[in-house]
Amino acid sequence: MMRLMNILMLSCRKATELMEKRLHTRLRSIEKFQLFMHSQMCDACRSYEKQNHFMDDMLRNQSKTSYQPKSSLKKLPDEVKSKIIKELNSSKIN
Amino acid sequence: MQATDNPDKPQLIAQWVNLYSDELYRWAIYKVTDEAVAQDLIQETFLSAFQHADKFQGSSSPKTWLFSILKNKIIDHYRQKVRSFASTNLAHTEPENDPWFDSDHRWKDASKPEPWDVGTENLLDNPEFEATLGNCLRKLPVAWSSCIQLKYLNEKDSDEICQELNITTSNLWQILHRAKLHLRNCLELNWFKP
Repeated sequence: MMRLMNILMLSCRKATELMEKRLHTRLRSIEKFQLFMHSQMCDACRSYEKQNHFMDDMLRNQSKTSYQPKSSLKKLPDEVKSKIIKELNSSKIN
Repeated sequence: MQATDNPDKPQLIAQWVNLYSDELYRWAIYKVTDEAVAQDLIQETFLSAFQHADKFQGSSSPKTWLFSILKNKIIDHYRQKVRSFASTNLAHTEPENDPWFDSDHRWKDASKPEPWDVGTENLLDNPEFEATLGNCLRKLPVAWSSCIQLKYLNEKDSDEICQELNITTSNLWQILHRAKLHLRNCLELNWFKP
């Protein structure tokens, strides 16, 4: 019985680690079950999971090439643009 | 649109640089922080684009194509960065004084996650939150934030990332897990429960 309990009972650290793993790959059946059991009983880990999902969404979204950063309106300095144009025109790449 | 053997090549180059470089630059700065590095990456992106102009068949827009080249340049940037860390350094994910978990691996009382009072909707479009998230990412140890960037920019290739970092897949989760714990805490202190 103790052995069974040990298998079923995850620590919070292990549970949150499996939550991370689940974001990136499939969990094994036993891991899914362990995580389910733990989450049923642990408010803190449930909060963590929600917040972890949110961070995952944010990071995923801002890593898309279509993402437009909102916090900066910086432009590429003109001299860098001219330099690129000049270099491309003078290079014998074709 | 063919950039090679195009008599209007100088115009085309100037046109693409003027049309797309600011947007490319903004994303590059956001992803790598350092403006000088971002400028180099933009330069490399255009150079690479015109070197491989034959591969651009007009099947995507020039903008999409340039962004995909830039993305690969940014991934290379982080690869190099991460390679400069010894694998032992990266794998060091279990600090002696764990700030989050006690010796039984349960949450310490002070770090128990509680629900955030502030909603998380629409934060992706919020410039202040974006800046906060950026700052929190920068506060992470460089090896960890580089792992995060590589993982999210290069989603499909966890195994490849692990090979390059000379770590196992399970170790990558542990690194990401540690990094997220810190990131969560930083967001909480600076945004959700200031």
